[in-house]
Amino acid sequence: MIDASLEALVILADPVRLMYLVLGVAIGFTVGFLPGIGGTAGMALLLPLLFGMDPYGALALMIGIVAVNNTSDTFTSVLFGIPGSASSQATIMDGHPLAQRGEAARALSASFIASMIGGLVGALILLLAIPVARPIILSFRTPDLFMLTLFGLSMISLMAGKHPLRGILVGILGLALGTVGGAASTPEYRYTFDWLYLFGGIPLPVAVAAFFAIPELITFLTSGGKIARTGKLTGGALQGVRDVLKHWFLIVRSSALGAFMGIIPGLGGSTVEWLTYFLAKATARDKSQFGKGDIRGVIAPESCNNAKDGGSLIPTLLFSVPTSGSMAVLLGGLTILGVEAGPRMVTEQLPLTISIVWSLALANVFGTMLCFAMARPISRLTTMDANKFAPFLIVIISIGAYQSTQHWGDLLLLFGIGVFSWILRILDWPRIPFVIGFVLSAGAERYLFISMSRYGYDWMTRPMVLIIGALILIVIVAAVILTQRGASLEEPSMSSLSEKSGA
Amino acid sequence: MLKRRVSYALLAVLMLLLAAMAWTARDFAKLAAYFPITVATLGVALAFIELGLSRRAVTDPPTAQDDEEDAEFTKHLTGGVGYLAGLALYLVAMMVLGFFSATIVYLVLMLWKGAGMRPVAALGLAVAMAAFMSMFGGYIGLVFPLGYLDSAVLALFG
Repeated sequence: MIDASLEALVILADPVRLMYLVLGVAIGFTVGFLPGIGGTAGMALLLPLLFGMDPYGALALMIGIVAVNNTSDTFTSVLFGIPGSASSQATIMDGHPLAQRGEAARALSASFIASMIGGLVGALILLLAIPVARPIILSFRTPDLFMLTLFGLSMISLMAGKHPLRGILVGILGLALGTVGGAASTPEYRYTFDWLYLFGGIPLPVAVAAFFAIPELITFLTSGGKIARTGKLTGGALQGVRDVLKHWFLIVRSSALGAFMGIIPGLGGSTVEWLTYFLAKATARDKSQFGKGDIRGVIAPESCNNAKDGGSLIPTLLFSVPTSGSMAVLLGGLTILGVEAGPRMVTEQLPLTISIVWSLALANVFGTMLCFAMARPISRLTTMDANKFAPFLIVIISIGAYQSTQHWGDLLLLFGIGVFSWILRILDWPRIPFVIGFVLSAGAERYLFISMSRYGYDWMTRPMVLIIGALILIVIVAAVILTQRGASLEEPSMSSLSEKSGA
Repeated sequence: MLKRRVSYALLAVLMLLLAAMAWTARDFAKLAAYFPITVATLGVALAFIELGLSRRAVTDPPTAQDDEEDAEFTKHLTGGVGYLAGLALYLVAMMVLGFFSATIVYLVLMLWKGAGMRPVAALGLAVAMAAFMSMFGGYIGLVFPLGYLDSAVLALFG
């Protein structure tokens, strides 16, 4: 383990890989402070460019985006009361009142340092989870892996929002479109319409970019206008550092809580952040300032939402169970790189897995430095017109999608799937289930085929299969209960997006 | 009400699409057909249930919230169609003219007409973007579609 850790660090210390990490941090930083785009779309933007890349560099790039997105989304939350992403909603409660009374720099600096510590705690928990999870994972057989894939698919029910059936339907569409191309079991090509391009299936990067990035950018262009009207930042950054030192226990507690809750699939960034916020409030002696500008109301959710990423990576990397939209895209990225998430991540791919831990820790440190350095210019950038930067992102997505097979079919699918996803977006249908279904489709079919071939129907009686089956049932019941109680959605609705865009 | 009706229509379209996938899968070999038939049939069943559950939402009289949602939906629908048409033209131009020419034209039009920038500034930014993509893309090994115009320009400069 120690050898693998050192090996991973040496590999990651390569200047080119570090450059990719910094690039990922810069992209994550940018998509974080632009409300409405978010980490999932940010990663979807880059996915097509991962083809042929060195896995260490490519993962550093993706982890850079995931890690920093939750730090830079604080800018708009604090300065303008607009959540940069779903996981920075609770920060507004006290961050924006602090800004309104002229203490924006204090709130931002406390938030950045709390986020960094949270991120480092998350990375540590991920590292500690690897040796613990290793013997469990290695005992898994193909039927267990099939059930784990089904468990991943059951996450759809948790992410489907207020219309669970529609979410499941979109997930099923993802599963169905994942069967296009060569079959896993026989040399037969399905749904290709004799079009050679489709013999290899629908390219994952094209599908993901079309499904997330295109609708977000079109909606952003349609909403128009500026993110915020003013970009004023006043002093008090040192006070924020003192606040962090004073409330160190709150940070450690919220980070640990965030990392553990990140492991639970489907909870979503906003739910986790709100839980930590209310816990901070409930355990505070003086609650009178919460909601009016209490720095603890900024520190607790910010340390938690960065720590959550480390926790979310545990089921994603080790069990192929994506816990959120960005984790589903990360799983897609691994597929593009030829890395199969699951047991191999703790055997043959152990240095790669640990390099992710290092990337996560380094990205949090780089991201915090970048946030401090860019605080003033960013506050002015948020007043920029959406029409001035969205076209550039569209150019990058288009050429990125073309890299999949370098065939005009890539562009045709990008447009077709993009239009379909845009329709889902403006109708407030859930879209994350599509990616989960699409990514897990091939694995589900292959594992089922092997299980049936090797064990017949006996595979269904294996203890692990029954345990995971029970877990799936629990997830579905939890989804039903959450839906009835009107739990928050992973994806923001059109109306909330418009509010965020200031349109 | 409009949004609810479009949502309902989309449900019906999805059900038909999945039904067509299940029907087509009958012609595949048994092992290749099993998974898509199961998935698509399950999808058809769920879509049918959701159509039944949503029926009341379509027939009920519109509320004030519906009017708000319809206004928002119409705004995005009408605005988005224009941008999507622009994207479609850009993608076609990318294949016919070439990536660099199409990108410059697309960015100039979007920045000039869409963002209200001066044409010269828009052109400067568009050329800078094309140059950046050429250099950065070349470094990371990107392949650009070279249409008739890009090929002709490249041939002109050797």
